[in-house]
Amino acid sequence: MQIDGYFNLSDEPVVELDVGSARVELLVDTGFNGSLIIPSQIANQLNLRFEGPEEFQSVTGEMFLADAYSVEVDWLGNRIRVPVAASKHVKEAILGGQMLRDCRLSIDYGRRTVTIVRS
Amino acid sequence: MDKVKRRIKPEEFTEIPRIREIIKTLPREIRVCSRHGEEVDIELGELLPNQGPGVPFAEAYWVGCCDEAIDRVIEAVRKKTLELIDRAKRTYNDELARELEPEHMGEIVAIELTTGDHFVGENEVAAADKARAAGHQGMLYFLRVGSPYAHRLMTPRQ
Repeated sequence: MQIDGYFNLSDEPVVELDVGSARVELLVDTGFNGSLIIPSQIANQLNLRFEGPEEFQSVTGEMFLADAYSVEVDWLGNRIRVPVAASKHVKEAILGGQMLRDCRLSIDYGRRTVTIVRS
Repeated sequence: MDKVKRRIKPEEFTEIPRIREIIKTLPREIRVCSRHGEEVDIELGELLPNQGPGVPFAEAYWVGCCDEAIDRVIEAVRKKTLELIDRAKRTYNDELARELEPEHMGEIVAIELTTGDHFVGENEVAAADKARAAGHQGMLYFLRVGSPYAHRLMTPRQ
């Protein structure tokens, strides 16, 4: 079982996942050490369970507040519940390194492929 | 008396569960207008049929007897949120750091905001599940053990 992604129009690696019961395109960003963070307006379309606030540190060192929810995601053949942060401070959905634990992420810029498999 | 309704932006809908939890903790003299005796609350718009998985409303409003009462509650929610987060961080620094570091470095600790009880897990879901199993239904604050925040987002995407 593997997840095949692609490069978006901005030449960035992305994957599409069933998050809640909606299909969401997520940017693969290993500079984010959480699981998922999504803009609030996308979060409004998903089945989310509120858990509480948490803070993020951005690349500039600034902190911003987000709300942590949990959501079910199709991930490598399993339906699992993962944390997802919703914030008006991000403009696109992002998949971070916490989702990639126990996985191998391959981004081949030459062949234009993005794959995630269990390691 | 006519009520004042102030629209909440859709990009702020995901803050509503937190705001409602915070409102519950505010003293009555903040929640209830002293001039008109009306309580400030959040009202969801008409429920939409066939909304699928999304939030079942397209509109949400602050509702109160006057603008001053709504402003007072919004400001109190903002201050209380910061106060609760500061308290949770103090709890971590003063009590939990020496208990959890270094054994749980990098894991997520969920701190229950009213009691200060804490639960550790590999992520927010695991920590929250432990808190819920222990009977805590209230709001949790999440922090990464060994860090002053939960996560870093190192690509400039704000």
